[in-house]
Amino acid sequence: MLAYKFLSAGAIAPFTGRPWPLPGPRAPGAWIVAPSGDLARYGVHACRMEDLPYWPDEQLWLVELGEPIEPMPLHVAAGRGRLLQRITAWNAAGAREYAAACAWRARDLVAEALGRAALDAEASVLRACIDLVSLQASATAVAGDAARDEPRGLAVYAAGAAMRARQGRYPEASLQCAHLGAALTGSEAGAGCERAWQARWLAHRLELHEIAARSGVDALTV
Amino acid sequence: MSAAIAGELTCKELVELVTDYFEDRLPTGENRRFELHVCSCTGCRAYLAQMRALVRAAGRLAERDLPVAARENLLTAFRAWKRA
Repeated sequence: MLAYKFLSAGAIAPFTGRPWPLPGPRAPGAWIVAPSGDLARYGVHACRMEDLPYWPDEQLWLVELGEPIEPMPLHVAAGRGRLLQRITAWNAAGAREYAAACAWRARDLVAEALGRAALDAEASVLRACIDLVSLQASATAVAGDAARDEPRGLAVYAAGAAMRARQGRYPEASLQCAHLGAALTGSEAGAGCERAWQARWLAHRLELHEIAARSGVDALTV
Repeated sequence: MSAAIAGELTCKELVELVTDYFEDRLPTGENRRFELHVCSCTGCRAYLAQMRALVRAAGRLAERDLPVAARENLLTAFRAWKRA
């Protein structure tokens, strides 16, 4: 099974601190084999496309997983895994672009909510923003001291996402969007919708479908 | 960043759980919540890295490695803190 794996700099697993063996020019990396036992806890963890927004890190890799494979709610756990190729489009510039996309997504959602609440002037102020600096300032002004569950108060999330995007903090920018989704719908499902939007954005921008298709049929079978 | 979604860990909770995390004492679900939070929070990611470095460094220290003056300074600080 093909999957994706976020790693820290140097292809280091972010939680175990284990370095993943790098692939060669024509060969995958060596297999990493999980200790026998609780796969959910100690297995090789990787992402389906829809899991990507939850586990961001510095490097993104296409990986092959080997049996046993257990789908979990936000990741896949496997008995073994190996690196196939690095997704090079996920780099500092790509991460900044992702953070900015999340901020503009938050702006659009808040502007729609303001429009539904007949706060057209406030919605227009947000829609007129042309960069993250103006978005952060305008959204902060629109929110004022309104509570977060009021339509104007939702602008806090857009301001927060813009601020974090300006700082290059893509994990928090995307989380702000998820929080906004939850606030808009009053449920976790709203957050899930935003994470799904982020996964689609990443898949499109990083051309993940194309990369997976090019990786070869052999890699699709265990 | 504070939690806005049910079941989401806060930064404060993460700090309280970090020792159990390092000692592999968290239940699997709690462990996953911990790691999910770290992935969404640059501050907690840095905190976790600092704690890991601290554990590694402290693990290499023996009591005799501490200079006498530093030991006295620490003891004075602890006593003052207990009196406060």
